[in-house]
Formats: sequence, C-alpha cells, structure tokens
Amino acid sequence: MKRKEKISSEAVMTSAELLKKEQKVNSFWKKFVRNKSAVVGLVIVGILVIMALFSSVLSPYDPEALDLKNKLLTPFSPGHLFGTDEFGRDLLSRIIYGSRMSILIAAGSSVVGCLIGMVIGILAGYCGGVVDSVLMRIVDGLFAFPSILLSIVLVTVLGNGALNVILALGISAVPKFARVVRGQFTVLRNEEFCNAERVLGASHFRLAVVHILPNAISPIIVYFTLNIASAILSEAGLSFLGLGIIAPTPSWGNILRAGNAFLYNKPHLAIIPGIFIFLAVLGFNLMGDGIRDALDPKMKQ
Amino acid sequence: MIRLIWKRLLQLIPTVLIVLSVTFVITRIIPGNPASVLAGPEADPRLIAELEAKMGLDKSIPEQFLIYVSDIFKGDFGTSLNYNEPVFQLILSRIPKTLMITFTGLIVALILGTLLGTVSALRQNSWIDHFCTVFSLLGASLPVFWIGIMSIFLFSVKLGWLPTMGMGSIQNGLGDVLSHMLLPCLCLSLAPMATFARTTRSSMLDTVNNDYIRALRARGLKERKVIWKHAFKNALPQIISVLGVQLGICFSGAILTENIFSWPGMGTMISTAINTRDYALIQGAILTLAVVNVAVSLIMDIIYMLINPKIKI
Repeated sequence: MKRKEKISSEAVMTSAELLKKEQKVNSFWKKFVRNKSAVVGLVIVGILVIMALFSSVLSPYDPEALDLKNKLLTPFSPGHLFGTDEFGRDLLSRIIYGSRMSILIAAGSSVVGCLIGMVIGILAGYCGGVVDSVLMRIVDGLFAFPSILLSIVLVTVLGNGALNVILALGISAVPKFARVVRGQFTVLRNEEFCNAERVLGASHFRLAVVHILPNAISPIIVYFTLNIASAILSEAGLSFLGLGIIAPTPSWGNILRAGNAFLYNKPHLAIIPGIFIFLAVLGFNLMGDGIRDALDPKMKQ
Repeated sequence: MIRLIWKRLLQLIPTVLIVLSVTFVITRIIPGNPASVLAGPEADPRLIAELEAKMGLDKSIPEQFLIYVSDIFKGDFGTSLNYNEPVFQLILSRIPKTLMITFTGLIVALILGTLLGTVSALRQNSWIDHFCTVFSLLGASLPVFWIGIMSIFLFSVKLGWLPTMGMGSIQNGLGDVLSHMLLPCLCLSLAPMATFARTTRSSMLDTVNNDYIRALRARGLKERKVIWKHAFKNALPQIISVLGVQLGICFSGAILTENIFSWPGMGTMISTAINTRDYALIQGAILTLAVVNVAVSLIMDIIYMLINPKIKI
C-alpha cells in the first residue's frame, strides 16, 4: 500500500513537472523568437552546424588536394567560387571543412570547461568555508593568465592537434564557469527551498545536483553559448599563431595565417576566412544574448 | 577600508603561488629533458647526468620548486636557448613596448567607449544609440588579428598612409613612432571600447532616470554638470570593475596584434619562442605577463574600493 502510494505520487509529480517544463519551453521559445537579433544568430549557427555536419557533401573538392596548375585563383574563377590558395587547394572546400574544425573545437572545449567549472563551482559554492577559499584561490590563479596565454601554454605543453586544443581551451574556460556556478550556488544554498529539502533529509549530493543545479542552469546555458563564441576566436587565434591545428588540415585560423602572406596580391585569401570567423562568433554571441534575454531579462550585466 | 585592502593583498599570495606552480609544472612536463636538450643529441649520458646535477634536476620535486621560486625572486629566469641571453634581460627590454600599446589602446578605448556609452544613454533610440548597440556587438565579435590584417590592407597596402611593420624609431621624431603605433592601438582598443560603451550605456541608463538626477535638473543645474559630475560618478565603479577584466583581454589581443604588425614586444617574442621551442623564454614571458595582469587588477580593485561609496568599513 505504502509503495503504491509512493509510485502514484511520483507519477503525479512527474506529469506536473512535465507540464511546467512544457510551459517553460513554450514561453522561452516564444520570447526567443520575438527577438530579431536572436533569430539571426540562430540562423547563422544553424547554417554553420549544417556546414560542419555535411562538409563532405557540401564541399566541391577535397580540401587537401593540391592542384599546382590552378594556384592563387581569384574568387569567382570557374569551378572555384572563393578561388584557390597557394597550393591550388579550393578555398571554399577548405572553409567548409574549417567550419567543422571550429565548431568541434569550440563546442568540445566549452563542454570540457563547463563540466570542470561546474564541479569546482558546485563544490565551492555549496560547501563554502575553507573548500570555497581554496578552490577559488586556485581559480583566481588560473584567471591571472590572460586567456590566450593560458591556451598557448597548454597547447605548447600538450602538443598540437584537435584534442589537445579542446583540452587547452577547455581548461582556459574553467575559471569563468567556476565563478558563475559558484556565485549561483552561494546564493541558492541559503534559499528557503533548500532549507526545506534539508529538513526533509535530502543528501548533500541530491540537494546540490537535483535541487539547486536546475535553478542555477540558466546562466550556465548562457555562458556556455557565449563561451562557444570566444572559443572560436581563441582557436582561430591559436591556429593563426601556428599552434593547434596545423596545415594541411584546414582551420579558419590557419587559412588566415597562410593567406596573410599574400595580402598584397591576393587579399581574398585573408578576407574570406576572417569573414567566416566573424560571422560564426557573431552568430553565437547573438544567440547567447537572445537566450539570456529570453531566460531571464534581469540577468543582463 | 584599510582592512579590506589588506585582505585583498593577502589573497594575492595564493594567486601568485598558483601562477608560479603553473609555470613550474610547464617546465617539468614539456617533452624532452632540458639537460639532454642542452647537451644536444647523442650526448654522453655522463654529460647529461652532470648537467642534470648542475641544473638541479636530480633533486626532489618540492626542492626543485623551492629553487625555482627563489631563482625567480632573484631575477634569474634562466637563459633563452634561442637568443642565448638571460630571459630576464630579454623580457625587460620587450615589456615596455607591449605595455605601451596595451595601455594606450586601453585608454583610447576607455575614453571613446565611455563617451559613446554616455551619449547613447542620454539620447536613447537616436541614431547614435543604434550605432552604439551595433558597434558593441561588432566589437565583441570581430577577431582582433583579422581587423589588424584588414587595416594593414586598407591603410598601408591600398592607401599607403601608414607604415605596416615595426615600431619606427624615436630618432626619426615622435611622429614616426606614433604613426607606427596608431593601427595596433586602434585594433587593440576595438573590443574593450565595445565593452566600455555597453557597460557605460546600461549603467548610465540606470542612473539618469533616478529621482536625484531629476531633482538636480529641477534645481536648474547645468546639464553638463548633472551628467558628468553626478550621474557619471555613479556609473564609474561599474566601469572601473570592467577595466580590470579588459586589461587581460588587451594583453591577449596584444600578443596576436604584435605578430601582425611586427611590433617588437612580448607577443612577437612569445611566438618566436613557440616556433623555436624556447621553453625558458615562454615560461618567463608568461609568468611576467600573468604577474603584471595580477598587479594591475589589484590596483583596479583598490581604486574600485576607494571610489565606490557603497564599500565602507
């Protein structure tokens, strides 16, 4: 009898929660769509994701295939919409494959940074006291490094390659996430609903993860989206310096690096990759701002 | 107030320790034993062991860390393999040039950004306000190195107005140095300027609609005085708190921008060091920039405490 009661109450809870959740999603979506710049951001991000997912279908040539007879073609040459680079590689194909690299690294590093940052932030914010001080001083120490420097150091230590860049950019993003999550937790852990759960005998883990985290998730989502934008910039910056993704594997940063050498005669090689970096960053920034405004208009800083 | 500043200073100790350990760890996990790198390939193992003993690599890790820290406090950052000079000397000769463009860029950004933000807050929904919104969005999304390349393309290649490379020489007059500085500084200032404009606009909007501002206007105070003496004063702490963060961003930007304009500062040195795997130099340069960053954010925090009337003890 007792067991039955428990199950039925749980069922009621979940359906009520589902309803609430649905309403929330609906109103969030409506608010988001009402915001024109957010929609622009979403469209840009959507196009980028399609480019990244279907690179092999969309690109007309192999991005690494050399064609020395047709090198340094200008844009709108027959068969090469964006022209070709100094080895005759099709720029459009390289840009399309570059989007895959950018999105992969930016999203991957944001996941890494967000997860580690969340663990640190939850521990610091929930436990408070000594744990908080120790963890936050470590975060401060990491924060002391200008972000690109920290990524430069980490890539130098770890070596080049996509996975290492993801790790490096992820670790550089940890301080930001940790601070945001900690800030939320220090406020929320003293709220009435937490005290109620505590009295009901919820374990620390349950309280932190099941009850507080959902209330702190909005700023985390916003920071996650905005971090993708800054990770795209950082990845491009690293590749531009000759670290991270090394040619012939195309990334927007190393295409720009190579194109920079031909600025005098063939400026399109530097202009085109830059425009794509800019649009990608803009798209994620607009989307992040849109999500922020739709989730909680008061969160603007 | 003094107690608060003391507390802030005490927080600095763990931060600096973390910075030191990070840079220490880098040297320990980089591929290749420094002693065998120094001895060259196919060196006698006995020579390597001798070098290891000389470099203190045979001691325990905590001992090595203590030696590392005490060396740094003595100003001994090791020797650069590439330049064959003490790292400390190299950094000393380069860092003023980096600080020159970062601080100039930051000051330009601060002045123009707050001005733009204030004006657009006062004329909400005017063309200048829309410009401010678009500008703060673009400034946050444009890659600084691409803007650098494009400005070289426009102003140096196409128009031939400005020099592209180096920092000029003071012997050719101040104008030479300034014309070399103009593009790097402008590129650097773009992103912080956008942030300053955005912050100033929102905090000015919060203050100008307050009752005390209306009261000041009703009393017939000059508009200029109302805005700059009373409203702006309330927006200032916010701007100062952004300033500290922007400095770090400026340093990051400088490392990239210097490479584009061949500006002979820390950024070009770091990228040369990366390409030649000059670890002692990388380590020293990064440590220095981190310490400068920490020091300046400390100063910003103290200014913030002094300027913000809400913090009082």
